[in-house]
Amino acid sequence: MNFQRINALTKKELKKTFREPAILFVIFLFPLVFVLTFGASFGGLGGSQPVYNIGVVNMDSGGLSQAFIEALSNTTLLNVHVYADNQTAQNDLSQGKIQAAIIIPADFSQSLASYYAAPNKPSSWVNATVLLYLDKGSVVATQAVPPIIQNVLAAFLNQKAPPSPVNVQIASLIETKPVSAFEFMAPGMFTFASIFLIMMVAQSFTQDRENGMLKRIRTTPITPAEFMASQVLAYMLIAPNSSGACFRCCLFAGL
Amino acid sequence: MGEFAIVMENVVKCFEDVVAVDGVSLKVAQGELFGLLGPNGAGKTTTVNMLCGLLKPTSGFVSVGGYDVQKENVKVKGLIGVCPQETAVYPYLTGAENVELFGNLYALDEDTLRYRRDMLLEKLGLTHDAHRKVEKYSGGMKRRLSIVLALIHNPQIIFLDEPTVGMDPQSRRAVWDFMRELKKEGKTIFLTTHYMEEAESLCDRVGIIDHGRLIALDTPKNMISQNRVGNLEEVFIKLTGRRIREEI
Ligand SMILES: Nc1ncnc2c1ncn2[C@@H]1O[C@H](COP(=O)(O)OP(=O)(O)OP(=O)(O)O)[C@@H](O)[C@H]1O
Ligand SMILES: [Mg+2]
Repeated sequence: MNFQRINALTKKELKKTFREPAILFVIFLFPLVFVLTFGASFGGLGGSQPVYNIGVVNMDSGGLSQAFIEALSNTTLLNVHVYADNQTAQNDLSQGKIQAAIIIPADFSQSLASYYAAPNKPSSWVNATVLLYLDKGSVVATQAVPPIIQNVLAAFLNQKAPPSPVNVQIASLIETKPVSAFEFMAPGMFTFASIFLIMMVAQSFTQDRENGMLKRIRTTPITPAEFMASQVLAYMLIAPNSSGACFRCCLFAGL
Repeated sequence: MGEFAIVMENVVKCFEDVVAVDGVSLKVAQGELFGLLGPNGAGKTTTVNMLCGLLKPTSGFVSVGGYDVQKENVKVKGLIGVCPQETAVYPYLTGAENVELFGNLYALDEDTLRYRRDMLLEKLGLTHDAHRKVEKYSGGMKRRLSIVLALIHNPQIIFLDEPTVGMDPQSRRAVWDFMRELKKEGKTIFLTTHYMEEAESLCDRVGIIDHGRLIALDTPKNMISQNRVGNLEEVFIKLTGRRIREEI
């Protein structure tokens, strides 16, 4: 393997790709068309905001917890059902009737009261933990519900930034790591990229064969392995650009 | 075998339906400028392709630079420079980029590559167009660039398959002068052509090939005097009863 040869051929392949308008079109416009068609056919474009059903179990007898539940109900994003005990809420959650269950702890009102008394003195606060159970089957709910709750809570506390006496803790069994839009779309993009890669390599091959370049290259000391390496390298560099373009289109289209 | 740059012994190449090269034997000495002359379809390109390892002879033996082309392909490739008949240059690269790419394929170091690039582009009159894309070149310019690509690594043995086709007389003469210069440097040149005057004025020895058979092999002078005619054109007519069709 001689890197100079591989490098030279890889560069040539990149230049070819980025200099030929037809290929550029394929790389950057095809993804756009692809995404728009995809988006339109799955109806994800321009849809209205969904409403999440959440269950609330109130262990606190204080008045502040009632006010908090009201604040949650006032959000257009949430449909709040109050449950008497944790068990029924859990049952409904596992049956998919609600997408999340919130457990308000007994010391919730007390905690808020301590905060209102001295908002700037965290050492005097009584800390409380709101438990949140999430439907592990719904990627959207796991992503959307916690920030909504956080926001309602922050608004309720009149608070602009942490720290807060009340923290929201996700108690469900699943490990919820943030699923980014990228991860959400990655499988599709990889499929797209690999199909694209095959197309491009085949196209580049036949083109060079037609104009006799491949034959000419074969009279130089480059080995088939070096030649293949250069092709693979070039398209490994090009494909992410294409799927990157695809991804940006997705974001742009709001998918 | 050391003194011969190119040896062909009883070489036959058959394609499915035609015998393209039919028992050709010839030897080209080191430093010789050899011309293979023949009409369209005579088997010139097929011969060159076998000599540079692109085609495998159906039978017979081929060696270049003392190496068996079939067995020591890699060594042969390092030794030869090939200018194919069809103008093979990358249209989407500039002239200079084409030259650099080929220099890198021969793993030249940067200084040598830059020096030889500038020198060859200058010699073939392409310096001013070096940074234009090749797709904007005229046919003759592409042919000249194609010759530069074949010579970038300063090869000892050079194959030029109809190098001057489509060139104006001035460019053609420049290429001829350049070939004479290469010969002075001691390079072996294997040239194919169907221009009689090219073969006559340039080559040390000429082989005339027709229907895959080598029908004459001598210096142009000897050929002309032995056949008691005025020029190579008449030699060809006398040997085959036909004229070589001149295109363009
Ligand atoms: N790949 C191939 N498959 C089948 N037949 C071929 C192939 N290449 C060449 N031939 C045949 O071999 C014969 C010799 O062709 P070749 O290209 O060597 O001729 P040439 O002397 O170079 O002619 P020209 O002056 O037109 O370039 C022709 O009859 C051609 O049809
Ligand atoms: Mg030919």
